[in-house]
Amino acid sequence: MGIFSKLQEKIKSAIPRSVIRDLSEVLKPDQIVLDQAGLQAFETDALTAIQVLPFVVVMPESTEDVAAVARISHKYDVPMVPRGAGTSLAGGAIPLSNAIVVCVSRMNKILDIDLMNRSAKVQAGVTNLAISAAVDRDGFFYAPDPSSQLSCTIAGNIAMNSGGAHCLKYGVTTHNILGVKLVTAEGKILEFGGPFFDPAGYDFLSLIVGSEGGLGIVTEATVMLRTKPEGARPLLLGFETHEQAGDCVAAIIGKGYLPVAIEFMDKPAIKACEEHARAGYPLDVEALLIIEFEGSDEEIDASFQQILRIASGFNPVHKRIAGTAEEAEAIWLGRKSAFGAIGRISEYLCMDGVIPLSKLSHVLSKIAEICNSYKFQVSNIFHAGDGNLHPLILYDANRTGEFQRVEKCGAEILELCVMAGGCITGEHGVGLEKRDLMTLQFSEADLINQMRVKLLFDPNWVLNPDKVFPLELAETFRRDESASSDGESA
Amino acid sequence: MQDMLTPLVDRDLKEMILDAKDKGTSLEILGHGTKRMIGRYSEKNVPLTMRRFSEVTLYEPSELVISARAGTPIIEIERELKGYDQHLPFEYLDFSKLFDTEPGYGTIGSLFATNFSGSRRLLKGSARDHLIGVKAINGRGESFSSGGRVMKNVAGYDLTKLMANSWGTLAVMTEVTIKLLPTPPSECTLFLYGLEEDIALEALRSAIATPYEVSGAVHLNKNHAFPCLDGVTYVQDKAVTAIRLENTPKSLAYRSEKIRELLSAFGELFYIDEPESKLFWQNMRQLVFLTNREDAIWRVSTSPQRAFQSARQIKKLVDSQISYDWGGGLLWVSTRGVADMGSSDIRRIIAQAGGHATLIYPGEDATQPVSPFHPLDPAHMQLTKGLKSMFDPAGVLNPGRMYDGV
Repeated sequence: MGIFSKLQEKIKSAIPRSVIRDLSEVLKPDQIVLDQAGLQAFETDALTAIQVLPFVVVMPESTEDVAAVARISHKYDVPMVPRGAGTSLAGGAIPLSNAIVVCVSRMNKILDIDLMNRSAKVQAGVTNLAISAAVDRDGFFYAPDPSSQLSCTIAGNIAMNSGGAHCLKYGVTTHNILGVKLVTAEGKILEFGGPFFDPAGYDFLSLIVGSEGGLGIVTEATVMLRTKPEGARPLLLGFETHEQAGDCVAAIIGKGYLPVAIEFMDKPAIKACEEHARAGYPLDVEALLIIEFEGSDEEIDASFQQILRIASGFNPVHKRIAGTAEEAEAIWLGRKSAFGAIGRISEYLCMDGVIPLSKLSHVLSKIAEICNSYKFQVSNIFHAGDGNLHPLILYDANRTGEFQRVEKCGAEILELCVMAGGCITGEHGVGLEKRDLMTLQFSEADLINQMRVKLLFDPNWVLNPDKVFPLELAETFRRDESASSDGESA
Repeated sequence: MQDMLTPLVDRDLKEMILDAKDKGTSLEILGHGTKRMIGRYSEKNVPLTMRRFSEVTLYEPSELVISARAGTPIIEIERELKGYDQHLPFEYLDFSKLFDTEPGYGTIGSLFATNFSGSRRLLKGSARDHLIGVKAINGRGESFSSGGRVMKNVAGYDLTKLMANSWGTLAVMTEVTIKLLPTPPSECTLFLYGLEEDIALEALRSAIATPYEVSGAVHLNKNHAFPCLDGVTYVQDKAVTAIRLENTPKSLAYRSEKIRELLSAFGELFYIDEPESKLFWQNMRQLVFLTNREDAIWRVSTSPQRAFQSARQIKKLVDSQISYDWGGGLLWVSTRGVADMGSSDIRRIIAQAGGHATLIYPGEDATQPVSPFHPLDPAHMQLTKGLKSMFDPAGVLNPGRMYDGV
């Protein structure tokens, strides 16, 4: 019987009760969540508009626990949905009603800190900030800093290849992971890489990072540690037009300056942040840039002078330099509270497209047009240095049909990003949210080549099975592959 | 030698791949052949060069991005970048001195297919890390693309970085897109002479652990040091430990002073300014210390913490010279007069320490064939063969280049 027909049969049949029996043989009672109230805590992630009650949630405490669960999943052909802290904005951790949710949040130990190697070996449920906190005193940190870094886990970071405001200088997750331990769909334990650079052979790490839990469940990771700078401070620049702000960023980079972060906010975002955080942002500008430099005080001041000189060509109407750590914090406070601030006004859908910087002005005016046509308000927050644009589309979640409308509006924005030469997601991942939009960016052949990788790791398609790839295309692919492998074995 | 296939456009390449697939033959995928000496060679493979795929297709200095067809000579790309004070930050290795080829004449496709990054990899990452988009044709004759021109892109699986270090065995890259960085305005190097290896590594680690962004951290033994110091003042006939900083002149003055203070207990630190500093690191990148034809050359990536112990064990068992890059994370080992070039000992020791050893050059007197790439354990080999069969089921592209049956 081919893979596809087997899968069809599986979906039709309910999960056998013996799955629970087998799970309770390998896990302690408090590692299995079965009651309605307990399960509800796992029915969604940060894409709260979609909720699905899982069949069962397990809370492994070791790689061996995960492997034991995977073997049961394999035995009964039951899907698994891996989960970290459930902070995915793309619905990457949203359960399936017929799946075992494997939540690694209890696996939160730092196993080894090796400052000589500038690396740390951690269990996958450790949070980003916990790693940085553990090595802070020694002058090191773990670089990727997604907005959810307080609570998000390395497991989720690896799954989504998370970024953050500072990846302009330090790269995203894929640049900061040296090795992983992975449990396969069949329950085997594999290791890739380790506390050294550039592992031998094919770059499996590059496939695993960003695979959204589709290739295996990462239980441990060796992460790269970086040395902390002597200091870091931002400056704030306000402009009368988006174009001036965008051109200013292009000029800064074009002239050879690479700040550690360049953040852009448009007027609605500035207003929301200011009302919420009282960061002292100017309210009479159309665009705001927060540009951060690292180094000694003198080095930072010297960089600021250079940036102000470059910026003067673009008529900045507001300039503010953070002279102290407190002033720096105040400037960042507004930006970092942006999502919460806008969340206080209304429900929103946070998009995550990426565009070439040179298209910023064009894309922003098009976004305004698109949102206008749907009668939605929009705020734009933009990691300007790397082109990652976060339009937050405000909508009324209580009105029926609004979520479908806002999704449609978002899809138009992402199509616009792709048309401008960019992509549909820069750091949030595809998940459920953008699964059907993958064809905006990829041809069928592109996706088939990706799906072959999944098939290699996950022949029965049980790992986070309904994410990343458009459902219909994935089904056709599996049917074709199944037919050809049946043909070969006949 | 067989006639070389020279496709000009994607359609030609696709036809050649499909033709080989139909006939049950296989292809050797080449750029200019500058790294042909590395890895395994099979006479059965019909050579195909990508050198006519030569063109810079996009360059946006303000976005730090360049795209080029895969056969574009690296030197041409660097020429473009120079005009805007930008560069390929991973300091790719240049084997021209070792293999007697023209410097910089390798193609950009081969640079990524082999992923050999130099000293700056320590701070700025590998070639792989800077590859953000590819267009390629796999062994089934299917064109696909992955990534793109923007530096953040997490849509779907990352087939882009998978192409790095795949040695043309999964797909033939037709175009690559690269993330660039501004060229640092100036650089300097601090030299320490005559340190014992373990002390030298300690000094390097101390320097790297500072906030001063050390972009090169090497220790060369006495014999390896001499050719690298060609053109540098203060030459002493001793081992050299070198620490590079790159920044504005004002920052360099400040940072180098800080490091000098910190490392003063290790001995006198000599300040090497441009252009000598540049010359030294160019010598490193061109591996001028490894050009003795009799020697076998190993490139070993390992844990810096275990590097010294591993090196000591290797030297005990194999007649060898060892130097360190990446603050100890990379060992350059040259061996002489050993039947298997030291393969079994080196690989056993490195496997215990964590890491892998690649035989770059077997030495001109080599008789016994040794696998150039570090053998994979059975589970990884199974996955490797699986991945190969997904992209190139008929084994058309560079079969055997990396491993038997891959």
